[in-house]
Amino acid sequence: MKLKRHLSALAIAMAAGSSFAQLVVGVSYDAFQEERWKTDEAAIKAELAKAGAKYIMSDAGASTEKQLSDIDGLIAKGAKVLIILGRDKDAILPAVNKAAQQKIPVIAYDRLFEAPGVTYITFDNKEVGRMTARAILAVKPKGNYAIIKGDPGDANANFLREGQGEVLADAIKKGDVKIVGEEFTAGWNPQNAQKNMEQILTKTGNKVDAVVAQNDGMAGGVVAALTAKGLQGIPVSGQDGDLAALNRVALGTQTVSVWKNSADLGTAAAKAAVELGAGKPVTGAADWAGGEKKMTLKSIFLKPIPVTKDNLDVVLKSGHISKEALCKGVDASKVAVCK
Amino acid sequence: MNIDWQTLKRAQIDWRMVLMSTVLVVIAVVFNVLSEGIFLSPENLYNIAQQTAVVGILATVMVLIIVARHIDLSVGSVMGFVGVLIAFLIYSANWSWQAACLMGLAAAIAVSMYQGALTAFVGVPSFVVTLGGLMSFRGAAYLVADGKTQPLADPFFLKLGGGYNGGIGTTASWILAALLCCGLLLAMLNKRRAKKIYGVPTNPAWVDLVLVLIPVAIVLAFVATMNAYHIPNKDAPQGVPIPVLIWGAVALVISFLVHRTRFGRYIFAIGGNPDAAALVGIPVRRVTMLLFVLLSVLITIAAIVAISRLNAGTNSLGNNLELLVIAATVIGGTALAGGSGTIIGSVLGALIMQCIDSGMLLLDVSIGTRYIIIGQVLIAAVVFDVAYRKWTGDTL
Repeated sequence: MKLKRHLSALAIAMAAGSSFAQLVVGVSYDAFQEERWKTDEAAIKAELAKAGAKYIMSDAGASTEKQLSDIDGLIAKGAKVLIILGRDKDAILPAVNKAAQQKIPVIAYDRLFEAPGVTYITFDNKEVGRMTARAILAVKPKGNYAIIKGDPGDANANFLREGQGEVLADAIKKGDVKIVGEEFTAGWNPQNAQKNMEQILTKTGNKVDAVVAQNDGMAGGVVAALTAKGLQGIPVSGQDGDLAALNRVALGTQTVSVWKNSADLGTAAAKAAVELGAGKPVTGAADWAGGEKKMTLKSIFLKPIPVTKDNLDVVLKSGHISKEALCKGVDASKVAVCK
Repeated sequence: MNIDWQTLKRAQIDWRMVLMSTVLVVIAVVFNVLSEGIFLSPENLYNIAQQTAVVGILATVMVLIIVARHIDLSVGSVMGFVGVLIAFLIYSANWSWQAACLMGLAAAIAVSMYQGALTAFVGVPSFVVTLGGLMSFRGAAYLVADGKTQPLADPFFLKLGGGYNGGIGTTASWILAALLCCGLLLAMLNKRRAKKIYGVPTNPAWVDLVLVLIPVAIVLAFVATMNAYHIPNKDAPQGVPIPVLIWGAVALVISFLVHRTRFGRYIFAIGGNPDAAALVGIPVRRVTMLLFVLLSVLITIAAIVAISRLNAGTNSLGNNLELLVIAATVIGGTALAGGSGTIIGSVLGALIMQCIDSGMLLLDVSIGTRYIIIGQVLIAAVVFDVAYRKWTGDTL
């Protein structure tokens, strides 16, 4: 079976070389230097290679303007499908429209931008928010909560907050949970998160029972702030499956890290790109209109995994983290996976 | 009364510092009222002292850089790079923290030699060199550990950034305060004696006494406050936090360099008039180079404090820090045109900025409003600076 697929891929590739043009998929990253995109790229490349398509990429180096010319460049190089990790959901639109005029399908990868015909593939960020809050609520159903939000300019921070709000709404109404502090964190920077947490602790006289933080980096800052007051061990959430955070989960200083296996996202996007390139509809895509402009887009939402002390084996088995990194400083008798 | 005014005018009092301190006090009191007494609580002051340390350490040397008519936009990135490198060596490469810090220092010196040589010998404006550095070393900070956060756990190392065990305790704090107060008193007496020997008119004794009692009172009040902060589940109060101690030591050493060494005088001479400085035989290039090396030492110290405080090295460490450091320096009265600035000013500048930021956090002011206000404070400080220089007849 596998051999057959390889052969057919080979055949497609050869056919592409001779008669048809080989499908070229262009990927525009906004800032490739961030750690996680390497995982995405590897998955996209592997999936495209399987289908016999060619992978070309560009990196905008965190510049909105450069990304526009990058996309022109990808089209000029013959990209027939574009996967775009948009730097700015509005500034990217001229480039997306240009692609649409040339009948080039566009996939909004991980981050949303709304334009007609765009396919949006991402992890369900609201669900990530729900998962972080759910995990905290499970271990601390009553008490004072602090919420450490991400950068105010990032739409994901609001999606996450919405999801967190949904889960906490009932408990807040009943009076079980009280939100005693809530801050945005410039640039998702752990140092800023630490400062925010210190000020919340001071403001409330250390009466904080749980912290819902929106990512692992900031959770690190929060735990540092808590540790400095001898409060480490109260429930703290995060997301990203950062290695340091998973280690904290094993140590017991962080409750949950919602893990989005970005290899899954890359694979899904590459599959969709191949289907779009062949003029077919994308398998598993459904209509969704939950964005700011309420535009109906074909979307795929992948489910993240909340990693807690009880299912640490997931990240270990997938090869995301080594046992050594996961269990550093952990009392092996207390954590099953570290035995 | 009239006579008193004349004596005060003749006394060597830095009115700018007096005004800035007043501003700081006013800010603190206003926030304290608005936050219903939380702002001036020992816990919050302890927080602020710690939160300011990294910016404060870098601001002391930024004063010298700007005085010498240079600028360093890369401090945040280089600190991030050095910090992640140290954390990486400790966590991933299993080095001892001492060895890792030395390696970090070596890397920082190499970076500064490179940037310093381009500035001093090739003649590329430091703005350009360090603008490039701002980007390059942010990238380097990423590459060192492949963007992965490097957690730190060594109990001694974590003390350097403050934290749970990061205070020196009450007894040591009082001893330190006593030493410092004696030092201040002796320095004053020495100055009076020296002035008499050279026949320079001295301030009336009571003026000098007041001038020395004010810092003594500040030191004692500070130590008392830090000693009053008691983490609920600990046996003893914290005392002075180690990062603040480091900051204070750095400020003292740099002040000494400025006032008592040829190196310090050269820097001010170069900043006042680089051509004249070169003509009278000051080795402008060598001094510039040395200045950059001094900068690298302080960047390493700041990096150690920063990663220790965060209990980790992350590739975003020190993001946008250069802006805070330069802002603190400018608020502290250092002229961007070079030639004038004081270390104590940078300390006050850093404190003013952090007080406003932390105070607004306590009051739940939204992040956007916070940035607008801090930005306008920076401008207000420079407007004041311009007005003050006009008033005193200083050139700009």
